[in-house]
Amino acid sequence: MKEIVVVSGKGGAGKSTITAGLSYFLKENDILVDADVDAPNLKILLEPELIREEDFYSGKQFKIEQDFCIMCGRCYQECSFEAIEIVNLNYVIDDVACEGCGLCQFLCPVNAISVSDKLTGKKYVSKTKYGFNMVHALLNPSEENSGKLVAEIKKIAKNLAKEQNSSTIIVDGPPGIGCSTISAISGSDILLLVAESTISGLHDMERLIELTKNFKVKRKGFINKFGLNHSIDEKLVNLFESKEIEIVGYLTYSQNIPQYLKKRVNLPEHIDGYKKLFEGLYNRLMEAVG
Amino acid sequence: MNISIVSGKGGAGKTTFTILFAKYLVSKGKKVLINDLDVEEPNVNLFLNKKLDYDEVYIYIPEHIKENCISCKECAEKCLFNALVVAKDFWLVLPELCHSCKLCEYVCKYSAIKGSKRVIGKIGQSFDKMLHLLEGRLNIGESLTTALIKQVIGKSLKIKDNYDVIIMDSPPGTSCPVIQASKDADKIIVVAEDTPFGFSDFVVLSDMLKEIGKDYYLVINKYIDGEGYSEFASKNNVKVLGKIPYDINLAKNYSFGDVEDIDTIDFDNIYNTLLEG
Repeated sequence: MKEIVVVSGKGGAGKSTITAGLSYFLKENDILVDADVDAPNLKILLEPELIREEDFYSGKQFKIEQDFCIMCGRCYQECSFEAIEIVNLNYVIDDVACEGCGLCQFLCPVNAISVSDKLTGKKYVSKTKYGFNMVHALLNPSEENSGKLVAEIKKIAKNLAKEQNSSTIIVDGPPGIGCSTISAISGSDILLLVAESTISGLHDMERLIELTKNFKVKRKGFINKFGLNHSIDEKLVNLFESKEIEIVGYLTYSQNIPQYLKKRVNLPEHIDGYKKLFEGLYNRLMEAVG
Repeated sequence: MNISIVSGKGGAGKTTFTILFAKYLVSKGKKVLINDLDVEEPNVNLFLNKKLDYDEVYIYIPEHIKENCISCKECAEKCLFNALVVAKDFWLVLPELCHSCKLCEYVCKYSAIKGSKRVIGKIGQSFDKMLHLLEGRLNIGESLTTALIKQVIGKSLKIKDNYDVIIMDSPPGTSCPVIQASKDADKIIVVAEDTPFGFSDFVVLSDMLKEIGKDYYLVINKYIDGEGYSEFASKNNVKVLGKIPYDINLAKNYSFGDVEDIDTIDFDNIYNTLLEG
């Protein structure tokens, strides 16, 4: 079983469009993962039907029990995240600012601070319109720890892959190069690095290449919105070549693509040219992972 | 006025809007401070080309004082982030898991932990009176995005009185760092992309803003027909500030790092609406 992760650094570079295109060629027992848990979008093109869902608990939620609080102010003074506020003359924890370290509970001289597990999102397994299963999630807004949620859905996908005897898992990664991206690429076999033909796309790809160089994973390049800016195209080609990253595909900039997305069309499904393009890309990735 | 520019989806046009709006304000004689809070992928300066002076950003990390340690492991047991590994005569902190909460230092009864610091990134400044840029840049491989964003915001609070308008270009998404950027803003502008992906992410972001009790203005970018948005806006009483058409010339200019004012955005109207609201 091989795991392919699609990442780009920059948001809006085309990860989801390309992942959805690749997924068209998956077999029924293969698995797709939407690891952009902040803003999961594959569902829009793949019309998944929910099979099962699970709560995602992450971290701890602390609460000051007002009946017991003696207003000593210790927690307020010592919290490293300034997460304790005074509301109506009571000390109250601001759940957004709170990182759940428990220092307040440790310091409280009268044990007035209680703790519970924090429900921060949902994990889903669904069946897509193409027949294969998709593992996805939704992180509750304003939560941290998307890296942990990404790790958990990847684990679900791996277990499912073993059960179903899958040969391939494709993962749509999150934007950025932080915690959740690191989590998405950990333990995978091959990365498809999707670059956008813009100055931001180039800059963000340089950082992504730097981030991924120490991972024991194969890397292949892809240029999206190709032709939008010829000088950036050339720089991207040179960047990939200089890092010995083979370019396995291009998607030419076209004003039609947003129109197709508007109609919720997965590119290879209805358009022959795109079908050939994505089939070629899929086959090259399969060859590369062996 | 402190304005936060956010979007659920990446690539929706936050940075483009930030640059265009900032240039407009400067042309009206306003002093503008831009905070680039997308610290994982900071792109604002690709469009401004300012010379930035960087200062390293440090955060707290516990340090072991070996001779005081009795290997009781209480620090490791109490750390809710599992950031400490302790065995007999062995003590290790895992920096990528440590949240700098200092709990371990308080827990230790033997004074075997003291505060130290480590670098997680840097903050660049342009020192320009009219259009000043503060850029957070997270070190590659580092995961403490929120901690760096907090420090950029902290730095901007110190100098905010020198500027008429502060514009915060946020990271994409709806998670903690985005809230961090929006919590204290006077105005929030959501830049959303006119595709089903963009709309779906916009709805998630809108829920988040509702949850923290923040009103916002909407700018629809890459506007084709506004599917979903018009209905949502009228139903939820969202003020639509503007629509930026899907335009190949704007995309081309953006790709070169050169966004110029375009006639289709009525910034006079946008600025006045923000001032009134």
